[in-house]
Order: sequence, then structure tokens, then C-alpha cells
Amino acid sequence: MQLKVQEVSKRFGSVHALDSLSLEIESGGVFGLVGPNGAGKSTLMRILATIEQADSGKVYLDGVDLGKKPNEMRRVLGYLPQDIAVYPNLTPVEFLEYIAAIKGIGKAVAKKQISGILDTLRLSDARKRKLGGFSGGMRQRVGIACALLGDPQVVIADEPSSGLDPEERISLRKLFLSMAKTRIVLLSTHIISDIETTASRMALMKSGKLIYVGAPSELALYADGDLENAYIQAVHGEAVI
Amino acid sequence: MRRVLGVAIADFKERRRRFSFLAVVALSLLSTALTLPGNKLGMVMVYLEPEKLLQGGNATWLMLSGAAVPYYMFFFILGNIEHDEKTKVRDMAKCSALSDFSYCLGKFISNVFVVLSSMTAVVAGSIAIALIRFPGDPIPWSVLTVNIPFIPALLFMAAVVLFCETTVMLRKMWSVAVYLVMVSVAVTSVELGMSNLKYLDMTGLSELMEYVRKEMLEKTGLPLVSFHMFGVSSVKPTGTKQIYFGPWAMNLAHAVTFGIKIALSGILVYLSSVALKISEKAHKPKLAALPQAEEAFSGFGTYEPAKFISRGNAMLGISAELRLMFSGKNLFWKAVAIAGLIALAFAPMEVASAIAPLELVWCIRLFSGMGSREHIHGTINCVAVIPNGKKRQMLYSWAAGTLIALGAVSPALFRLLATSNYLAAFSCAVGALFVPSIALFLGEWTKTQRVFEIVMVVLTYAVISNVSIVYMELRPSYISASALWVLFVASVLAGVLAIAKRAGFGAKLEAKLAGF
Ligand SMILES: Nc1ncnc2c1ncn2[C@@H]1O[C@H](COP(=O)(O)OP(=O)(O)O)[C@@H](O)[C@H]1O
Ligand SMILES: [Mg+2]
Repeated sequence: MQLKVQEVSKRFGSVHALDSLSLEIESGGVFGLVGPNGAGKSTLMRILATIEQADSGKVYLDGVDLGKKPNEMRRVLGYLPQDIAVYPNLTPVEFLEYIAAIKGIGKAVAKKQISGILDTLRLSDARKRKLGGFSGGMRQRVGIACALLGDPQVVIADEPSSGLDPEERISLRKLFLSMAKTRIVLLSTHIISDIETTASRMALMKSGKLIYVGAPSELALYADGDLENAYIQAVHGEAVI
Repeated sequence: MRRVLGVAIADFKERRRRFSFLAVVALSLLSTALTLPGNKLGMVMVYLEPEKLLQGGNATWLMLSGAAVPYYMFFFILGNIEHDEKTKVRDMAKCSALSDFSYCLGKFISNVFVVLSSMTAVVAGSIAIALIRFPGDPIPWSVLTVNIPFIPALLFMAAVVLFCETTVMLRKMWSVAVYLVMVSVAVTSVELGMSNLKYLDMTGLSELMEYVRKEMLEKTGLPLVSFHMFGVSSVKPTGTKQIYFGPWAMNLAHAVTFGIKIALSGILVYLSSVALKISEKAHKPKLAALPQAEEAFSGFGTYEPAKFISRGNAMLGISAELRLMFSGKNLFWKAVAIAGLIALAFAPMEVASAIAPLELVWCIRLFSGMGSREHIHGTINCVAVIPNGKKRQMLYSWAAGTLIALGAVSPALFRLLATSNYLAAFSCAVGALFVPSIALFLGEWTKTQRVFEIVMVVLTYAVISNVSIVYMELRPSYISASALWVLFVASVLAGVLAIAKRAGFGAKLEAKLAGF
């Protein structure tokens, strides 16, 4: 599959959240998005997820214009928002069953998959607890579970590792890596090591523009193989990329 | 004291920014407009003898319009501690040097700000309307004094609301119960002349009525029979004789009542801080904390995709919405709801027709999340990324709400049908459609539950006090079929407009228009 972003711009008042941004993402391999807070990562992901419309520019999924046919994306999408929203009075099973029902996943199929996903994300012990009492990391995993319902071919995850403990983060990387073999997996993060270990391609965003697109290892070359340093230099304009 | 004011001002600012504040100010102005003398819908009328009545026809009558404020402000000021808990601001307050009493006092003061600003809007609105409607008349500034008794009453109401909220466990049940008590106290103290109740009146109605009575007697020599604020009466006003209200005068009895109300408010604020302390201690999370996993972390398992055809499934969606609506409803609530159904099935029909709207209002919590839930909890993005998800979810919700409403009145509906009371049955069914439709509409357009709740309670109150309105009127002789059709069309339209808004037609239209 191929996701193509063509000169997309988005403004909020006087802020250019996205400034004529173009990008191509293919399935096979995780695509990582990094950049300082306010760079526009979430805005880009929300536009790709068809939650928001770009002011100008186009997004294509396998050649289909998503501005005109957002459902083409939604049929194959698993989206993890930056701020996980759940109903506090429901248990994870109830919440996931609700979302699955709105998606139109049959009862039996949903039940089986939900119990599998909760196992996968190590939430089985908490399956009967109300979401209102969940810790940040647990909520995050419920959000991930929600994004994985059905059979998403495009996974867009906005800061998926926030709130997770180190072991969980490492496991999540593996999960995404295995999923990315046949799917598009796009994730944003503040954690450079996440990019280093999972992403085969990355984009560095700053003020609504891309200042680098390519392999993380190549970006690292600008600072003698140290990706973190290279990132800092790139963001502060010390390195010419 | 500075801290207390800090809490109050922050809270007031937060609420002032919320859309519903504007909605309430708008509602205040609407209530002023409705009490406009000569207005057919909400006419203010005074019956001096059963058949002899007066309708207001000059500017002095407008100054009575503040009477409606307490009835909706109650619901508006409810919920500010809950809001703090949701946003975790309460936790920040708890771990600061701010005492519980200062916190409660701050919230109380903010409640008072909010109700008084609504009152001010009404007063300003009535002056504006007086200018427009009676251009020749001088503005009756002195009659504005009639608003004075509302101030201690509203203070007392603000304290009662605060107290309701600080008892965390009882919060939800309290609010409706206390509201009904508030209304009953006001009405019984006036209607039955139980004058001692006036000390507990949160609406200011007792002083207002005392004033109206006195003015009527002085100016016409006839005692007042009844006073109507809203609703179309079957009696046509003859209304040629004019009464000009004079200023409201304070006397010792008033001073005592005000003093008692203010003192009670102070005591309640103090009790609130105690209740908050106790209930926060007692209100432990229901579920035991999970122990940290003991066994070695072996990583997340593998992911198993589930194949499905990405198409809507209405049955699935509606049953999911139903489950969501009923989630978290406790046994007590269910027991009362079932008792209501039984009563609807077996009570004499006159009683049942009063129970039907009550049963619907008892179910208010099932409906009030409609259209607003996704905004309040932020789950709107969970459905937005599903093919046609926003539209579909709203449709499912509407259908589920309609099923619940029809279910809630079904015993009455069946009985009316069985006795060939088709018009009343139609009225019952349309009423049941109206509730979820207006819930969906107000929920989506205001993004809160409160406006819908206010509308529902006001409607219910009107129905059970025998004011003849279109909604849930089951007495055949009072039903107008054409009005019912209007309500039916309006309900459908409300639902459609809600879905259209959610699906973003408004934004799309705007974008198109901007293109021209
Ligand atoms: N709904 C919104 N309203 C106003 N401004 C917004 C909104 N969403 C994002 N922005 C602004 O757009 C810019 C990019 O935000 P975002 O995409 O969230 O950045 P990131 O995810 O990279 O931290 C920021 O300046 C932010 O303030
Ligand atoms: Mg972000």
C-alpha cells in the first residue's frame, strides 16, 4: 500500500500547523515521525486519519483521493490518537465491544479478537475493571487495542509509547515491527531510541515542514552516528541537511 | 480570603467560557421574552375570580420575569465539583494549602456569581423589552426592587446545590430529588399558604406571590385566585383593565426570612466542606488495585487480525448503544424504573398519564448522553475513523434512545391503543420520539447534557402541573392533532439536524459558501 501526501497545508488562526507538506509512505517497515512539540505531527496524522480536512493539498491512499473518499481510508485504518478517550464506566472489554459493534465487526468475531488483543497487550487481568480507574499506561494500551480491532492495513499511532514502562515500550516496538511487514505503520514519538530501533524510514518535522526524510541511520551520520545529537542539530538548524 | 476568591474567579471564568453559559444567558432572555405581556405562549395572567382575569399590558409586569431564573439555574450550577474531579483540578486543590472550607466557599461564591449574572441578564433583558414593547411608558425602575428577594433565595439555592454535589455518592440521585423538593416547597408555600415553608424557599416565589397578592388586592380590591406564568390557558383573557405594579417594599418579616436564608447558606457551605471530606474519604475506587505483575514480562503476544466486512450493522450498533446507555445504572435506579412501568400498566389511566412523563424524566440519564457523550469524553475520534462512523453512531444512538423512550411509556401506550384512544396513543408515541430526538439535537449542538436536562425537567414540570402543552398530553380533550404533527415533524427534524451537524454538513456548507 502507498500513502501519498501532496502539498498539504493546515492553518489554525495564524499558526501554520502544516506548511505545504509532501510525503510518501509505503507498507513494509515502520515509518517514524519526530519533531518538537507543536511541529504539526498530530495534525498531519489527524489529516491522514481523515479526522480533519486539509486546507489545501491532497492525500492519496493507493491513488484514491481521501479528501473525496475518506471511507477508503477508514475501512483499513487503525488510529491511535494522542489523547486516549474512553468511557470511564465501561470495562475494557465493554469499550472494545462497543467500538467493534459500531465498526460492524460481528459479535462472535469481536469477542474472540478482543480477548486475544487484551491477552496480547497484557490487559487480561484488568478486563473486568472500569476504565475510569486505569493508570495512564493501561489506558494507552486500551487505546492501542482499540486501534488494532479488525484488520487494519494502515496503522497510525500518535505517540504510542507515552505512558508505557520500558519493557512495554520494547514489546510495543516488536509488535509494530511485526505488523509493519505487510502494513503501513506510521508512528510519532519523542523518543529517539524508538525511531532508532524500529523505523526503517523517518521524517523530521519542524514548524509544519519536513526538514528530513530518509533512513534514521543516514540522519545519524550528521553527528557521527549519534541520532539524538543529529536530531538536536537538525532542529536547531545547526546542521544543513 | 484571597485564595477563596481565586477559586471562585477561576471557576467562574471557566464556566463563562463554556458554551452552555451563553445558552443559559440566552435562555434567561428567552424567559423574559416569554413573559412579555400579551405574548400568547407564555402569557402572564392573574385570575382574580375564576372567570375574571387580567393579563399584563404594561412594562411593570415585565419586572416579574426573574421568577423563572431559579428553575433552570439550579441545573446549570450543578456539576462544578464534578467538573473539577474530571479535570483533576480537585486533586490539585486537595494537595495544596487550600482548606476544604475555602474550596467550598470559593465554589459557592462562583455559583452565586453565575446565578446573579443570569439574573442580571434577565433584568437587563426586561428593561430592553420594556423599551421596545412599551416605548411610551417610563421604565419602571422602582419595580425592579421586586428582584431583591431573589438574591437571598438564589444564595440559598447556590448553597444547596453545593451541598448536593459534595456528597459524592448521592450526587446523581440528589440533584433530581432536591430539585423536586425545591419546586414543591415553593409551590406549596404559595398554594397552600404554608407560610413557614417560605424560609426554605430557594426560588423566591413566596415573596413574589405575596407581593403580587398585595398589589392585586390594593389595586382591584379583589383577592388573587391564581397566577399563571407559562402555558396557554383555555380561558381567553379579557384584559382591558390595567394594573401598574408598584415598588416592592421590605419589611421586618422579609428581613427575618432573608437572614434565615443567608444563615442557612453559611451553614450549608460549612456542612459541604465536611461532607466533601467525609465522602471523598469514603468514596474509594470500587475495584481493588491490581498488584504489579509478578512473573517475568515476556513481552506482548502476537497480533491476530480479525477479518470482517466493513459495512454498518444496525442491529449490532443499536444494541451496543443500548448497552452503553444502561451501563453504570445502579440497582436503585432500575428498581424505580421498573416500579414506574408497573404503575403505568396498572394504575388508573388518569394517574398513569401523569406517571408517563415522570417515567421518561426518570430515564433522563439514559437520554442525556445522547449527542453529547462523544464530545464530553472525547471519544468522537474513535467513531470518526470508522467508515461513515459519525453518521452511523448518531443513527444508532437515536434509534436506541427512541426504543428506550417507547419502552418506558409502552404500558400506557398499549392501554391507550387497547381502549381505542388513538389520539392519546399518538400523543404518547410522539412524546416518546420527541425526548430522544431533542436529546440528540441539544447534545450535539451544545456539546453538554445540561441544556437537555433543563428542558426535560421544565417540560415535565409543566405537564404534571396540568399546563396544557403539546408534549405528553394524554387527556384527549386537550390534544390537538395538528400540534402533534408539528411536534412529530419537529422531532424528526431535530434528529436529522443533529446527525447533519455531526456529519459536518454545516462545515461543508460553510466552506462551499466561502468559496463563492
Ligand atoms: N485544534 C487546534 N486548534 C488550534 N491550534 C491547533 C489545533 N491543533 C493543533 N494546533 C496548533 O497546531 C500546531 C501543531 O500542533 P500538533 O500537530 O499537535 O503538534 P505536535 O503533535 O507535533 O506536537 C501547534 O502550534 C498547535 O498549537
Ligand atoms: Mg502531538
